[in-house]
Amino acid sequence: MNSLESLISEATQAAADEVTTADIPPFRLPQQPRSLRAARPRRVHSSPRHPRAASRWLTPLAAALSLAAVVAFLVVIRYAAGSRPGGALSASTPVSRAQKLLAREAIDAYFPATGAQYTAGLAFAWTRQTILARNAGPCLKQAGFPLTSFPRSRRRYQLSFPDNGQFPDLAQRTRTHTMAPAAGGVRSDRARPWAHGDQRGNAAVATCMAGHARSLWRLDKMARPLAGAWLGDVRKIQASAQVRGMRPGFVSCLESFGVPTRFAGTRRAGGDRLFAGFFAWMARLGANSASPQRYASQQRLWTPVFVTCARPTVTTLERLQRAARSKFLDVHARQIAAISHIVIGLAPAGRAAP
Amino acid sequence: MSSIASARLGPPSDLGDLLGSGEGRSFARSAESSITALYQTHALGLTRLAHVMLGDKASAEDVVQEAFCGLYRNWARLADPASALPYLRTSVLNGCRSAVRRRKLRATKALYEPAAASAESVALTGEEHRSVLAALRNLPARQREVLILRFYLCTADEEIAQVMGISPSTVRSTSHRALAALGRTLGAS
Repeated sequence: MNSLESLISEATQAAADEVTTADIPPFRLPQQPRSLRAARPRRVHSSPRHPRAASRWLTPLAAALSLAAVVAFLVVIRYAAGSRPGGALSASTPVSRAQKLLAREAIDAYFPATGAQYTAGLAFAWTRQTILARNAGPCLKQAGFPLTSFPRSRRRYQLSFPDNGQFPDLAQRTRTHTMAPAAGGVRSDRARPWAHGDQRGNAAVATCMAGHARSLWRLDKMARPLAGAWLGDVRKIQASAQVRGMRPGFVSCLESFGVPTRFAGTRRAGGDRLFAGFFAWMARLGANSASPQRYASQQRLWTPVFVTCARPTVTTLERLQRAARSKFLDVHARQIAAISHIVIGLAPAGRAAP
Repeated sequence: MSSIASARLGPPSDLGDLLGSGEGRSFARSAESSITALYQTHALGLTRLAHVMLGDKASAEDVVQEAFCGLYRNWARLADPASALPYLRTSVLNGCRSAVRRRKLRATKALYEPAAASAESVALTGEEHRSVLAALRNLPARQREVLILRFYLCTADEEIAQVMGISPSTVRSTSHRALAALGRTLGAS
């Protein structure tokens, strides 16, 4: 596939990914065609029609009264449900744009296929962290596991956790000219929604969430196992022969920009295999940099090299991951819908200032 | 070739024999359940296909809904249930063509416009993607469809030929011309 073909594939997949299961309306069957309409059996009266004239109007009147009763009942039920504070989200509850956006970000957070989706997912991770800190923060502090601080700005949070090994966001790298735009002492116990801490801490988090942030607790229970399965699929794709076959091109590209062969050809650096040559070189530069400012200027110099050399590999793996994600979301459509439903319930509180 | 012919729809079945019988009712029920199952399986993929073609979620949903309604109306004439998906794809392509025609009549833009300015759409549909999609949608219908079926659905030439009702060699030559035209457009822009 040449670059134009890859570009078409990439652009169309990106456009297609805008449609999610949440966008699909239920199927409305059309009026049955005459050919399919089964002949209805005529009503057979076991006894002759009563001759009284009242029967002419009594039947329609009874039907109208029962219809009115049903309508009144439904109105009362609906009013009662609507007036209940904090009532469950019903199927007819209108979903706002913010709620839709948050649901989409949540799906990106748990099931990213591209760097852009990973970054968009971090917006949900920030919302989740904000709700967690507000609702369960005091409980966690009391349990001896206070939440570590995290950026109060959603934008800064998104810039704090780039994943250049698995989901490199090349657009963000190009914009910021740095591999870790907002790094530097910013930490969180939940950099990724699927991350796991130590067991005691996790137990405390689970207890406090179950008591104080129940929606998040339900969401985690539902989404994390599925996210784990998805990341297993991602790992398989990134270890596939098709993706690994692009490594020689990446290595020779680095060499053409002056990265010494012994670094460019490294097979593993810091747990990363795909772009190991680049990270080995950056680690070397970091070790030799006299100051953080010097290292930052090295990053500004070398980040565009990473973007150039990694682009073919990233394009290929994102294409494969997008296709796999579409299938994954289709196969697990019911769970995805349930996850979206919970997230939509979070939106009004989640969008509020922490 | 019409969409129905290209979707290998067979001759009318002996549905008339079923009318008015218990079998007629069960046939209708089975059609409903089969089509509902097909909808659950394929609606998302087909809506995405229509969205790539049209760049508008609401129109894409309408086109897909109409395609399934068409399948329901013609279910009795479907010789082989396996041909339902090619039939639906053909219907969606036809629906998209009609939608684009209607848009042109109304003189509205047929360019890609995300429904919501979400973080995802902003990030994903960068300038490069927008220009590719805009160039794709400015191609003649047949060229556009061949490229989208080939590079979005990764469909084989034979299958594209079947869905579009053209020969495989026409698919290849159309694809070649479309890529050349797209390359020229993108190069110029």
